[in-house]
Amino acid sequence: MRRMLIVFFLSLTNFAFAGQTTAPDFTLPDIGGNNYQLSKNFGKGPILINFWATWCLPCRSEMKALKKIYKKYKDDGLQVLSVSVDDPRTVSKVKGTVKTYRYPFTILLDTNSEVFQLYQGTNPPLSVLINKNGEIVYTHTGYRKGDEINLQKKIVKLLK
Amino acid sequence: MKKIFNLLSTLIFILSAVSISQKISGNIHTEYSSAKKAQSRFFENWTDISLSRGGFRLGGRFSFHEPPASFSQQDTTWGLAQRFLEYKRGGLNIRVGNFYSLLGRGLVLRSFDNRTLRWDSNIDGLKADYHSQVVDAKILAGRPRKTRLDVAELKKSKARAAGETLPAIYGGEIRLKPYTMLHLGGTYLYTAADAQQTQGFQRGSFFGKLYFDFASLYGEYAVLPYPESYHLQDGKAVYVASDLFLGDLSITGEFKSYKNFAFYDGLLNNPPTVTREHLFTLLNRHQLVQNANDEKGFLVEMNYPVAENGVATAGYCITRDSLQNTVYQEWYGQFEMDEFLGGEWLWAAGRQKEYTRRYLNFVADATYELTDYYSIKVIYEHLHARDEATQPDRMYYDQLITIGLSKAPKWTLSFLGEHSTDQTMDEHYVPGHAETKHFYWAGGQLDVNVYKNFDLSVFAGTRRQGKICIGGVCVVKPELQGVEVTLIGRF
Repeated sequence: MRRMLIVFFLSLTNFAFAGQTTAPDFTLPDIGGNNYQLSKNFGKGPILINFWATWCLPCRSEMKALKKIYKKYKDDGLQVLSVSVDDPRTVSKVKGTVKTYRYPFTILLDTNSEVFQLYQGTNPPLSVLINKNGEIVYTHTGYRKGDEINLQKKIVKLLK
Repeated sequence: MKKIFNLLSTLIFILSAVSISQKISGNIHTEYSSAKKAQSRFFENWTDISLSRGGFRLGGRFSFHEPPASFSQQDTTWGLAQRFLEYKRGGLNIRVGNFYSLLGRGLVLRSFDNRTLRWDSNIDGLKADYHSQVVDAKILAGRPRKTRLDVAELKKSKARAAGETLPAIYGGEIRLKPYTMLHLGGTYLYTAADAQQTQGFQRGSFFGKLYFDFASLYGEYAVLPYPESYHLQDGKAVYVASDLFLGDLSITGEFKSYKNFAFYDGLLNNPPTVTREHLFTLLNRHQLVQNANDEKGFLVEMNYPVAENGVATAGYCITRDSLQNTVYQEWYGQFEMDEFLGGEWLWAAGRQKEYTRRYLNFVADATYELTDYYSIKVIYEHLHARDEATQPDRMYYDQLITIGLSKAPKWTLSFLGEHSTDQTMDEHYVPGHAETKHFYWAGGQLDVNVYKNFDLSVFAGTRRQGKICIGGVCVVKPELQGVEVTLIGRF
């Protein structure tokens, strides 16, 4: 048992030292009916992809924090892609939620969670920060109040 | 068991070592429970690995399942559950191997993966997608996995990790976008004949979507002409969803009418349930169990921002069967307020009805920021239930409290407690008996970010058996008396 645990934690260390990977490209529809392709937006500045759902309570708290960050850095080139993983049972509530809570981001619909799985997501919220070269520099699952402080530091570093 | 552990650890180690130099990504999800009752114990693992090079991606899933029988109805299985090769260039994506897919809004086909429900209806075959600004197209062919195995089949053969499969399917979807505000499309699916069926059958749908700034409208009409040998009335399904924005008020409406439209008991399709999806435990415990063979209903929901910091929500939904029985009905109200009494608050109340049973719910949720990184969250849920089918009416209540202290981004320590007077929890329960007994469950949970993208969760104590419903698919998670450990990691 002890040997297995050692091997397991060595594996985690290996993964942790793995280099930066290019963000997998995808095409998703936005809530206005247009297609959005990620790779066409590389090179303009950092991109934050936030996977969320209308039924996810921590997502709602995180979105409030992201709104503040976006308003602060959008003029410096920050793009926020808010990817809803609402499936056919709740996708009809996305537009209403976006209007009510006044989310200012680009809202994309991943109705069968295929892009969410491409980014190795298991439960929302999941945040993925991509530099202007299209490389993933930071990912974070879940939301606790205060997480946005670390995220903001990472964004500021990319904007320098 | 030890061999599997060794094999899994070695596999993870080799792949992790390779990941230093190659573009390997993946995730690990392990759940282990050492419950007191043998039938509640489980150990399950899903490990997804994929290697990317240029436009190619090669991947697979290793899974191990030793679940409690009542939860997933599967025996112990392990092995390579999925493998695929994918090629992507511009708007074109071709995948060979296991994949998930959705046609329209899921009336005709929806194959998906949901770990909470232990639901995995992946398809083994070929899929090609093409996206452009004027047309989106998708074709697929393959054999869908039979998510749940029944006991008779388990006796016949040892279940494999990949699961048993259903007859082959062939189909696709096309969506034309002549204008940004108008999309029109159709779906088609053919299911081949198998040993039990003399003929294959086909179904398809037409759909349209209108986009405006002040509103949107989606409608889908699907048909399934059954071959004569089935002696079934042709299946029909209608689904309509719309949004309307009047100033700050947003109104969402949905309508459904499904008749003879559940394929393989809903294993292949999952039309929208047209009910509200709840996150709170007690509100989610009594939800509609979808029956796409006989359902009709609608939903209306309104949201309105109140001042700068509040949002009010009100909703109503009802589902009836063809005999006009109220299968499910819900009234719901919610009010959220930030910066109230120094914290963030949410209050919710709901009245649910399923046939003769009625449930009144009340929820209060408060979150307080103690410092920049420390916060505390308290959720109180109360449910009062009444069943008019028993004499006298059976009544009971449940209440649940969750208190959690968090330090971002590292850990959360929570206490969870439940109290119930539901007499059916008593193994000596006699219907109509007046004596009230009290039942308690309590436990502590630590969620900790162990390293980078690896999160560990440990629960110790007791937890009530409970129904979990997502999108009309429900499972009963067995009672827990002991320790439950969950590790989720991404790399």
